[in-house]
Amino acid sequence: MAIGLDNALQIAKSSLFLNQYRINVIGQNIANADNENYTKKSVLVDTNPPIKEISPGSIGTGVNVKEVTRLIDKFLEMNITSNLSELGQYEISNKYLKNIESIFNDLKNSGLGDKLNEFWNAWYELSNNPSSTPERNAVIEKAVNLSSIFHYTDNELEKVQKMIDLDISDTVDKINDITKEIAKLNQEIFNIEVNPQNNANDLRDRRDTLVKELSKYINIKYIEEDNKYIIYTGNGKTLVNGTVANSLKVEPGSIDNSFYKIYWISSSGKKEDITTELKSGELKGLVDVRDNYIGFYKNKLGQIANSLITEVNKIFSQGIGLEPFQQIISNVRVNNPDLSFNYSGLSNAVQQGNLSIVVYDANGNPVEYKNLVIGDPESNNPLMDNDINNLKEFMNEINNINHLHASIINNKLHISADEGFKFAFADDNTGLLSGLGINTFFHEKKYDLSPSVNIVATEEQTNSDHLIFTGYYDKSQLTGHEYEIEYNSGNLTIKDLFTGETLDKSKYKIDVVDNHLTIKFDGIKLQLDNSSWTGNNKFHINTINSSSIYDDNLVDNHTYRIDFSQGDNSISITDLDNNRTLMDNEFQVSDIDVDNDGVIDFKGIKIKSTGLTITIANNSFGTIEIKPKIVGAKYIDTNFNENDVKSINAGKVNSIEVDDSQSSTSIHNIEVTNFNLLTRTNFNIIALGGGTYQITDEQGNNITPTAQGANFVEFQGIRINFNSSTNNGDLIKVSSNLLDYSNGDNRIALKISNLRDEKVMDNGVNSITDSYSLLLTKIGIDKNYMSNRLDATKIREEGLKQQRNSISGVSIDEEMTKLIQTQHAYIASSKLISVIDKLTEHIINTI
Amino acid sequence: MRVTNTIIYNNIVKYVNENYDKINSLNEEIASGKKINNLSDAPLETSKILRLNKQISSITQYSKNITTASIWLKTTDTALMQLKSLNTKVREITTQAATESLNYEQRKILATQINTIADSVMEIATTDINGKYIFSGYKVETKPFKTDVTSSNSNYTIDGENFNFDLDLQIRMIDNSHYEFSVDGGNTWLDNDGNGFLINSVNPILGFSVNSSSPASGDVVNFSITQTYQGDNGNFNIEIDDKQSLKVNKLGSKIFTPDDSKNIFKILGKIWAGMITNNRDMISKQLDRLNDIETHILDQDADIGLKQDILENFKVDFINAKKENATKQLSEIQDTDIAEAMTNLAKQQMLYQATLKTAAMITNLTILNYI
Repeated sequence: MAIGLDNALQIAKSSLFLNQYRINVIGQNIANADNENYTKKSVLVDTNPPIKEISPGSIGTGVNVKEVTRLIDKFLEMNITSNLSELGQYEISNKYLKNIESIFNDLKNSGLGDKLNEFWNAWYELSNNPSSTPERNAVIEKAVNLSSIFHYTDNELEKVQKMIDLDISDTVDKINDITKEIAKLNQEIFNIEVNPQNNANDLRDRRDTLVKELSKYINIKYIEEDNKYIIYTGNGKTLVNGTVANSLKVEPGSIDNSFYKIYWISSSGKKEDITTELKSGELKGLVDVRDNYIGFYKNKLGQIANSLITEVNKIFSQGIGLEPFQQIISNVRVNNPDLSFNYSGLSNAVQQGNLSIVVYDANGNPVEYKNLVIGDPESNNPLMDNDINNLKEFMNEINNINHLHASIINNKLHISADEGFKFAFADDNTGLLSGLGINTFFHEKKYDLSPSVNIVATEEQTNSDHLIFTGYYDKSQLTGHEYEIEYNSGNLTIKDLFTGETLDKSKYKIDVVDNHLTIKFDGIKLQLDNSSWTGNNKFHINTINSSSIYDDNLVDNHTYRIDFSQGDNSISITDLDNNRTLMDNEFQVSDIDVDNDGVIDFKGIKIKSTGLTITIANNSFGTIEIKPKIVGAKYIDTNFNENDVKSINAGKVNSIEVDDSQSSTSIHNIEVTNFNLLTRTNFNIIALGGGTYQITDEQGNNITPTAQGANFVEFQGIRINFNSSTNNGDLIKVSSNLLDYSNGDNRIALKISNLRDEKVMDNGVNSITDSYSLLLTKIGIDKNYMSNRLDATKIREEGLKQQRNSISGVSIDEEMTKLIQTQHAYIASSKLISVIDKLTEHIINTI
Repeated sequence: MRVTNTIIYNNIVKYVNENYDKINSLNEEIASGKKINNLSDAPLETSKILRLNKQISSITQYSKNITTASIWLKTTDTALMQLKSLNTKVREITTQAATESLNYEQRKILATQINTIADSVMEIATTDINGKYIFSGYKVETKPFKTDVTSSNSNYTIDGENFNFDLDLQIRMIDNSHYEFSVDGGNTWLDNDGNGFLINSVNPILGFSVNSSSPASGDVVNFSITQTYQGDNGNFNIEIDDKQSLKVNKLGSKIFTPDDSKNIFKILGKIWAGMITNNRDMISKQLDRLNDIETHILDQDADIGLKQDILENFKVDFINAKKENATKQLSEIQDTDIAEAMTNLAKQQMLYQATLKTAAMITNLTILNYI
């Protein structure tokens, strides 16, 4: 079979088509030269099958376009994707850390450190001139400034947290949009690529772009096989499975009801908290900065504020202002006046020791003096000893002092003196006054134990789950008692099992809305399903009786779940942030019997890993979740304004001081038997054994005791009671005084100013300023670490991008060269057609 | 490696940004005068800066405290020196009064001088700084001494509150309106040449009147006038350096009334009593006491002088040097070395220009220029 020119014409035509195709592709490449996400396309050609039937050999039939491919390195793309996640994480972290850095103005000489210095100096100024009003005003003013910079810093940090929270919610929305679009694209790509010859190149480019954007927000892994395209989170949760997308969701945290937690919704609609599981990506960066970085900074700042409050208050409460008190109310509302001090929620831990009160008459002369003995503040059985262990006993003892009246109203201690009489506190080595917020400089420190109260309830005589909501509407009214609630065909009986009384109708309130029945009493709010209430039903309700922090340094911002099991009365505690059950030696449970009747009233639980104590009525069961937070920086404030200058304590009562360090027997307390005999003299008392003593004054004169015994001695209007019988050779030094007070006394002011350098923080390692500067150093280091990581990731990103550009990018020079090449090929093919045309014409004309 | 247009353009942008960033941070360094402007600029220096700031702030406070301490010490010192010179004056007068050649009238004149001196002593005792009494311990608003007058018979009073020394006075009614008196424990009785002194009118020798609404012949009444310390034992401490405080006050009780033998009010009273009773022996007995008082005043002043020396010669220099040192250290850590920063800026500027020029040259290179 001969071959005609016809085939040549076909060859030329196929070449023209090919080159036209090529020009299109080149055009597209050039047009997208600047598009970062574009992958360079190239045309793969195939020679048309030859005509085999002729001889000799085979004659070609031209060329055709086989496919258009994307020039892409899949392994490189995967590297880029994972690097983008890190880039996203570090970029956003760096941005917010930079934001945080600018909150602290200490390098511009107007930061918290400077305000602290000014505060201490104001106390120094007061110590130089204790009776002067301007110096007293300055102390208040500097304290206000100091408090406001604490508030400002804390508030700014919280603002950043809130901004981040919004960002988290936005990011989650973006992630959901992207995964949905990818799922849609998967469908389109699948539709096009049903025919294996067709490549959905541009759609794939689009999908790659989306995957990269997605990986910026959250770290992902993706797999493509057998027409399946699956995207997982770094932790293995499916985000896109072919044409189906799983969404993420944000919801405020259940425990502190504030910041968002991130949930993954499974195909069956189940929520899973993935907040702490994130590996990288912006979302991880946001959560990290919000919870770990800012969380730590706020906690530290709170600890600094708390130390300041406690240490200043402990010293201040031992002092006296220009005048004694007529009346005073404690700032701290204790959780339960029956509980020993360290279980009743005081503002600081109390130690065993002595505290004294002096009563003055209208002429300012001391007429009563009482040196109270504070016993074991942890005692599980406050009534066991003669000492003071709880607020009620403290109140009783004050009532035993002539001219003084004490009462507990709303769990606050009120003390007042008879008309014309005044009183003051002298010496307190127990910390009780500052713990109760009596005679203090700063407001008592606060904790956020939210929700410190969970109502623990159990249903006794019903099978269905009637209880819809248990909680509280007024925390301050909660009693901590156990209640029994019976609801019998419309009749409600609430019995307080602690007091044994049935609540009067006026003490509770019932509301029925739709099918919900709301019961309110003693601060507790219950919501029940009204419709199912028939017959006799019984509930038991318990609340946390009290909760407090005994050591700020231990607070770890974790959420703890405490499970009280029914029947065997056992308690288990879980650290929810680590998902770890606490070992038996990590917490301590004690039985508390407040009324000393042999029946356990409360259980006191001390959780050592977070510095928390809580008490709950004995035999409670249920679950409590609690997340202690230190919020001192938010609430620190002085108790005074410029009208209160007289109440600033610069000095203290000239009290009777004893030194029993050289005695085998310690002193129980001191009594004043005759105010007229008091002198300002130092005495040495040597016990001679057998209940006799030798007393000498500072001039060396012998003083004959007016009364003496094995465990007491009385002289010069003073009686000293010992804890046990004295032994021969015991030396006791007594510095007697007139129990008066003076406006020029600067002892308290000087002691407070000395706090500047006292190592009161971080377990006695740092001063307050030191601790603050360490916080600043940490913020600087955190920021530096983040920008270093960011720089490193950026360099890697740079390198990866160049590699990608080198493979997939468009070079205009290259495309132009190709264009010329194609142009030439096109011209040549055209020439071929023209030649064939001429040949054909020649033949036709010749014939 | 295959280089594409995007790579070239990306790189140009990157280089330009990097250089511009460096120029910007140099600019901030120069403009603010500080090389550490953010916590992350030098995290490990932050603690040092805060510590130095605290040190400078406390040193500034200490200098103020030292000024306050100096004022207290100086005022106390001046008061003690005045007291010493008064004491010398008393000794001169007492020596004079003890000489045989003096007659009773002359002694009585000297007694009025003792009166005046006692007023001055009391004035010294009530020395104040801005209205705060310095010899009252912490009771700065209470005068350190008050005159206590007691009477053994409540029908009789004296208005001796203006007396500024101690006196034991005894009177004996010689009739229903006249009395005689003794100021030396009953050894000598002054009876106004036998006429007695009229009750309820000013006694010319004592300078005050003995009052009674129901005087009765034969009544014997004992009065005592004492200057009682009414301050407290407060030690006024001022902190002059870290953990170093200085007691800057002296207690009136320790200076003026340490014990009976050195109680200046008591001695003055005895001298005065000796003079008005013309008792030479009683007067001369007090001379030794006056020597004791002088030694006592010098003892009291010795540590004041020492403390003043410490403050003026040592502390002020020391504190200033410490402050200078801290300020210098702070400057070294924090402040920009302008010369160095300017040099760096010039260098950076050149680099930036070079980058821009290179970019302009590279971007012109394209095949399009040749086809």
